[in-house]
Amino acid sequence: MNPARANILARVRAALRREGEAPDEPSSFPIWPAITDPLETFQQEFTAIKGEIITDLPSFLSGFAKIASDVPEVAGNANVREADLGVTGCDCLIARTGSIAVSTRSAGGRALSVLPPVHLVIARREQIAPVLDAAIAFWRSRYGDRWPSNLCVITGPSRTADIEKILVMGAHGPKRLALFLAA
Amino acid sequence: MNPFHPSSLIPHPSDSFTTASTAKAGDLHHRAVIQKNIGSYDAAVARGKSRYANWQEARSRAAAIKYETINHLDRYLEQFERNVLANGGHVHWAEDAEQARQIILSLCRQHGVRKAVKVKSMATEEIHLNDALTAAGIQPVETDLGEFICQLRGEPPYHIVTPVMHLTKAEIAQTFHEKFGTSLDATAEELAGIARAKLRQEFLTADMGISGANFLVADTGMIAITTNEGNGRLSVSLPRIHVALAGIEKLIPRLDDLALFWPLLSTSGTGQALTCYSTLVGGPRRDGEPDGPEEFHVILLDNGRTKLLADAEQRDTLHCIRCGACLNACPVYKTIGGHSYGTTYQGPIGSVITPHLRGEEFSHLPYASSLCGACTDVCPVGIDLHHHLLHNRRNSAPRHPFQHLAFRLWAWTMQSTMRYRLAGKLLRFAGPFAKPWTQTRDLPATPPQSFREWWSRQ
Repeated sequence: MNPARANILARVRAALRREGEAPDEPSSFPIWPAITDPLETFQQEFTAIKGEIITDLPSFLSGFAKIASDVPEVAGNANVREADLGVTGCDCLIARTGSIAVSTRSAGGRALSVLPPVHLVIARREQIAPVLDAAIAFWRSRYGDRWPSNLCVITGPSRTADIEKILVMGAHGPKRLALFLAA
Repeated sequence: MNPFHPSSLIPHPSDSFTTASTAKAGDLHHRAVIQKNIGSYDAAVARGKSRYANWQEARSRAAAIKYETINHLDRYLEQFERNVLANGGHVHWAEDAEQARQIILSLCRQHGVRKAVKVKSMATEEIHLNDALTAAGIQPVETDLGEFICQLRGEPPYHIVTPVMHLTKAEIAQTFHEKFGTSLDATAEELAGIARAKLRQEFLTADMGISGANFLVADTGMIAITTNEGNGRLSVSLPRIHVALAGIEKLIPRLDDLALFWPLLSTSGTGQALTCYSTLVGGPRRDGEPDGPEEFHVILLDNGRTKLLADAEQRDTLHCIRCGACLNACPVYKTIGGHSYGTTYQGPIGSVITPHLRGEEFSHLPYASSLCGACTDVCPVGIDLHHHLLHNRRNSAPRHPFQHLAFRLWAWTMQSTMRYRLAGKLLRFAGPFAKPWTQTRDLPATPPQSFREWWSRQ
């Protein structure tokens, strides 16, 4: 067997025989302000990071010829590699950051929510979690005994600011991120 | 050193550092570009921090979690390994850069890999993976826009988070013009669009995706990758094989800890509340999943990190989440630029860890600091950076006998009024000897008489 593993672990254990200086104990002050209205906060934050909230689903869909879909509400007619719209569900929405939590199980695999140039998410209002902690707890309760191989917290459409910090939408992932919130 | 020995032809890192940093410090174009870029960063981070009720408490909790992890690193490494294996992934261990390169090259050979798409990763920069892949006939393609530009220009990243911070849009348009024949007046949007179109083909045809990891999650055996562009997600979705290279210090105990670390990294890295894509990979494609790689490999890299771990005083440097905040805050970094350091990790964190990781050839770096403490102030995981710079100076101090002598001379002078007065008189004529100082600054004019002389005449 390769000795690297044993060597590294032995070096780690030898190093840890000397104790490091512990940092101050954290207090119990809240880190973030409380969220009073998750739906309102979600809508504000999602729009602020250039997410689009769709109210008229049929008219939105009529703008796309090739649709790949993983949800029953929307009929797909293309595969993920050629689609100009990918439609998925999600695990939950996160109010504080306007994010959408997806996984291979809730969003039809890995590529569907990132490869097509536009991503539409179909969600229900009761899927809004106030904060990221709650979303991770939800993942744990839903998947804890058998995790999907890939999960993602999506916060807005793909972007880059690598050139002079100028914001450009649609670097490699979707240029547009749309959400239809069913009641 | 024998001046005729071939090794004397290769400049010592400290000489290259002095030459490069001296040139950069007087480069006003460089200064303007960096000030504009970091100015935007500072404004975004201030907005980002205003979203917190208590930023200090967030830092303090992060420091406590990292302290717990790093001080029980063996346990968390084993737990992580067990869980990755249970998820159907593979775990490799690499003691140094050469072992890590060999593991990746052998995976490439085994799977007939000809092209690999890469997610921005400082660990792969650290082991100079691209050179090794190219030499073996495998094409590495950097997919982060900044790294893509670096690769086109044949330059190392200027900054651990913002690889081409030092370039203007016009300079990048020039590079694209030379490589792809595109317009010299291309806008940022057009340039990003060109990269998107070029790289899309690479994502679809690559055999392997190579990433780093922002975090290794022990209790679920997952790696976390953060990108804004989506290149990380595409690189782990489309190719047949996914290989992740991560330093052993990247561990966090629980998935739930990401509810703190993800926002902390985003806020300090770019000012965002959360980066666009906070992704978790926990193995290859599972039964019932429509896509994803057939194999998932994690390589755990030591490469000097256990030396940092063995230094109990500086162990907290392994808390680093590579957000880049200390670089952006550092007056020396802003003056001399990222390339002058000649290291993978630049700025204050680089000057603290590089002498440990790469040896005493880099013991000059801790002097590239005014010890102002701005780095320590902004560090989201509470690393005591400026004191560590001081510790490093102390650790390398016995090798500077002149400094020792100078301080003894100073002490001797200060112990007698007569010697003190004499020294004061002599120093008024020291102007010409202050040349290294006055090359880039003005020396204030010396008054014609000292305070004592003036007082005695009143």
